[in-house]
Amino acid sequence: MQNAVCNVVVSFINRVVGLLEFKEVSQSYQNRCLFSEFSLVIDEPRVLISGPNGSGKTTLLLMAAGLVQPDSGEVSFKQQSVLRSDSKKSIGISASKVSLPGFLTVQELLDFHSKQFNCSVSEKWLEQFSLQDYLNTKVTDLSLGNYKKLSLMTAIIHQPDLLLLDEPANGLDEKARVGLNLLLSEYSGQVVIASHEALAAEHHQVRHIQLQRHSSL
Amino acid sequence: MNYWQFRLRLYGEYLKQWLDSIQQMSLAIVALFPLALSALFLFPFLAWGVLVESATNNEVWVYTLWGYLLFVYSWMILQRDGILGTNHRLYIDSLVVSRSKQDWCELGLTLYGANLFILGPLVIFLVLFKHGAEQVLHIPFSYFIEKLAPAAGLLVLCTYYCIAAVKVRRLPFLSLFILPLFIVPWSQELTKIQCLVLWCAAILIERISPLPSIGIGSWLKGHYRLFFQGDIASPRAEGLRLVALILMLIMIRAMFNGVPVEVKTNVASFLSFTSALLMASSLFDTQALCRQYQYYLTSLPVSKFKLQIISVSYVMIKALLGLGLIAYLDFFETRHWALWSLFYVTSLMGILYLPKWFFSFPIIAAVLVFVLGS
Repeated sequence: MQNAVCNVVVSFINRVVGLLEFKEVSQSYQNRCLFSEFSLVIDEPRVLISGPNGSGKTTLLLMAAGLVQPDSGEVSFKQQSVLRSDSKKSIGISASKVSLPGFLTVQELLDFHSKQFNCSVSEKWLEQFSLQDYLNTKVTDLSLGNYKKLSLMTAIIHQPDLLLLDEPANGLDEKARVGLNLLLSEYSGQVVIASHEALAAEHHQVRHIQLQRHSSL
Repeated sequence: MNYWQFRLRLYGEYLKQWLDSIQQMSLAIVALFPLALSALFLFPFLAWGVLVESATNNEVWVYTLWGYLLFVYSWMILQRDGILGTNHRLYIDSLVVSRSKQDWCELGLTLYGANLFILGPLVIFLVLFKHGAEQVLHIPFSYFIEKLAPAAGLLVLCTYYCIAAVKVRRLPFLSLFILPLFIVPWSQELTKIQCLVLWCAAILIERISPLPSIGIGSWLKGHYRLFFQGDIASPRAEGLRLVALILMLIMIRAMFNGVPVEVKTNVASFLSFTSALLMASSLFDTQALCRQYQYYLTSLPVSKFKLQIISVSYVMIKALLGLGLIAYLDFFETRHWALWSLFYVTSLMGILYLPKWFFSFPIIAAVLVFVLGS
């Protein structure tokens, strides 16, 4: 009952503020138009973006994180351009394109990352993703699954209001998938996922956005 | 294709890829220094005459020997992965080939890779030995040894560093970096044989003593730590830069001997220009690291401008090592330090604002200084 009330309140606030917004965004990649004057307001707490390969799912996430500047148009989160460096405190992203410094150990990377965001590493998530045994392993030596877990850790470490996850379940073992589902259910901020898989997010309304090739929605 | 041909093919492929990457990475530098590069490759051949002559001035001899060994070691380090077939190591180890055959193959490839750098001293030593052996009955034996020692020492040390570059992971910091720096001021007091004995002792010490572990500790923080660890993880570029600087200093130092003061001043001005350019080029590597992890670094709450400030200040801090070396070897007067600062800052600006033509900035500065000075 309490959860349901909270969700209604959060959803109301989100709708008033207007969380993630793409305003007439155009973006091409190697002479191929991915988005043309694309506009979208995402104010649901959980969003699943799907679409065929090359439809621009990852690019959309990278633009939402302010990592790729669109050719034209604007992307904002809570009415502030995502390109501003102080916006980064409210955004977390895990995507294979966001490669982590492979020459650091897991511990060193988590230390560095947490200092940048002025926060501490959550023991709970470290345990949930079974990364304690790999703290002294170099990032480049991690398996695909453990790398993915570390990438998820860096995305959530500062508890951002907007969490962007690109194919988050790829390479994860059963325990980590349980952890991921727990994260999606419990996470208090907005979560946008680009994935081929269905989203398990209990207690949350999930908006499904289907992207098509040639940038049409 | 037999095993030897297979390993030779792997080595050849590695060299081809390596040369391609060098061409791509340092197009600007190669374009700027075609003569300097030729001079660098000619250096070993010119060095033989100085190194095997027992009458050579000791200071010049130590500098030249240091330069030659450093050059040969670096040359072999660059080929190490090709000789060992590192990229295909698991496959190589899966083949039914005895360990001794592998070792012989790798020794063969090492000698093939070192070729003239070892063959030159070997031929010279054999010629001197034969010539000395014919006269050994007519001259004192100690004189014979004294005559032959520089050539024998060069051959032994050169062979050792060629093999060590490939087979020994540990860098010869003591014998190839620290010892020569300390031996130079005493070179006139020591004989060549004593210098060679000291050199061999340094090699022995660095081989048998445990490597001191130097941790970064916790004093280096944030992006500075990230950049530093990036450099430690891929030390090749910075190592080559340091070796190039040392070689440049060695050659000029050797050249300074017996040269008039006014010529020295001009050479020091030239050194201020080239060393500033070389040290500033380190910013390319820091920028490459930022590009490699562009998305990750952009996802942090640090603005592009601040990241650039950190990158530049990090590169400036790194330059202190080279500056310390120049100061220790006493190359510069006050005006040269001022010139170095000018060329360094303009090179950094060039790399930041016009990377492809970065060297045009310090060249313009140099022309202005020349015009205003005259």
